[in-house]
Amino acid sequence: MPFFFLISAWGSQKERINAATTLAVYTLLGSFSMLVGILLLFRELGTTNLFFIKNNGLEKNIEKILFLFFFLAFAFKIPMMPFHIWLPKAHVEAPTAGSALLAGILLKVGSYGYLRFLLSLFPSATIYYTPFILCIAIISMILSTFAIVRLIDLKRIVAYSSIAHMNYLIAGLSVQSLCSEVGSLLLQIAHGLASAGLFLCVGALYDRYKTRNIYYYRGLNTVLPWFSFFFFLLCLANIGFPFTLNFIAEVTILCGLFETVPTIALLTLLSAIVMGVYSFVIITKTIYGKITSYIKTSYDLSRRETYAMLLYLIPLLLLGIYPTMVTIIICEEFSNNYILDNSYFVTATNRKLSQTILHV
Amino acid sequence: MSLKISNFFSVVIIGLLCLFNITNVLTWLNVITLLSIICIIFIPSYCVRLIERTSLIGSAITFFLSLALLRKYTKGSTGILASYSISEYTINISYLIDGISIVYIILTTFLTVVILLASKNMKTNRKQFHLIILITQILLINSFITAEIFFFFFYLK
Repeated sequence: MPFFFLISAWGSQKERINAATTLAVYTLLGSFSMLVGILLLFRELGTTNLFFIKNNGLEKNIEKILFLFFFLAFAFKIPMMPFHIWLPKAHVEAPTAGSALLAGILLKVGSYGYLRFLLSLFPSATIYYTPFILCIAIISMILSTFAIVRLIDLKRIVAYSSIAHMNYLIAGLSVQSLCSEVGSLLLQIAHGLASAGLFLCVGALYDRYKTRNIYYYRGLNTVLPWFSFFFFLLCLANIGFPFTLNFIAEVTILCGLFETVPTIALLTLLSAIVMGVYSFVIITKTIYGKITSYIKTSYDLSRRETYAMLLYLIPLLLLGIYPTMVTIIICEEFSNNYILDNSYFVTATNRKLSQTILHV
Repeated sequence: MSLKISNFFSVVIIGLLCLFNITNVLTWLNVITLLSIICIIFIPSYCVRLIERTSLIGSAITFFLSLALLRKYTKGSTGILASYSISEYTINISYLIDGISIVYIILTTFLTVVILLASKNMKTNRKQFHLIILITQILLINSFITAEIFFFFFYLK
């Protein structure tokens, strides 16, 4: 609900009411599904307490039904295709701060719910539906990556890149290998910081030139050197360049996928390569080259914007160099609570390999 | 530990009451944000700089508190934040802080600080904007710590 008001009141264009309504409708559909799931759960056990449900368990058939209701709610939130339409619209119309909040935190609620409720409360249903979820995640990731190539609105490009990243981490979570699950959580942090930073960059550009069309911009490094510097670094972080947290996260997920389902890992790699190449195209188009006649001299980043960019970049680089700061907290948690014993893909050898990779 | 109720709405009211258990760091996370929200409500709309500073300081304190939470709960912690009795029912508001939720809480508090820092370009209704961001923060933090699925749903909405 706060986001509905954020977009409708502070949106940048005339389409903002439409975007806010789309967001509200999609979110309400998702929450209706979750509410039905909660009511069914309450009817079954008489409680909605996590500890109680985890200790007592549910019948396998009921788990499967409840899983579908909860999954639908989280699929809207993550978002997975075909429930993703609201996200690019909301991003395009939302103010910069709204986009950063949406990409940085709000999308993570879906993946948090997936992790906390689906993996932990409905283990047998999770195993049953894993191939289905993996297929949707991979299709969403590949389609959104290829959609980026046709887009010209910078904010929409970052939004579709968010969809690809979110589905990438869901693919990592769904194979239930320790390596890919830890990588998925790392990617949530990395994506939260990198995409929020990129939205801030696009917002800064829009504030100065009132357009987000990539064909409008060329040779920005001559007029906005500090902006170009931060935009370049954040784009590198977004594609998983070495020495950033995104790199560690994406490689860890890929290791997990390769050790469990190599075919899916190859498709994921293809998507990552396409996104990487196109990010370089965007950097070259906007930052480098001869300056266009439309670009008038403008003031570079303000002090506040520079601090904000630094606050996005420093943790990304710091955790990219020393990820143990985070993995030490989450590894134990995952290995104790979120790795399912009889998963489709994970064998004892996989588990040992995962632990070796994570220790390295 | 178990929550046995017949009425969801009573749980919602008690969920709000549980914010006032002052012995818990989690409570302070909520209280500081709530205090910032209340302060901003009473600040006149034309005192833009004061509104900005209040929200920024409130969110910065919340961020440092979440780091304190990390120090305290690294090895995982579960428990009851508040316990209330309504007629024959005892309602326990449980929370769950582990290696997963702590990461989300720190990400939320950190990004809120950065977003508020970078939101200088907002031209209209700045007071309402800061209120919405802080309300979103408090709801998200609570959705990450709650051990009740219904509360998760409530905070999410």
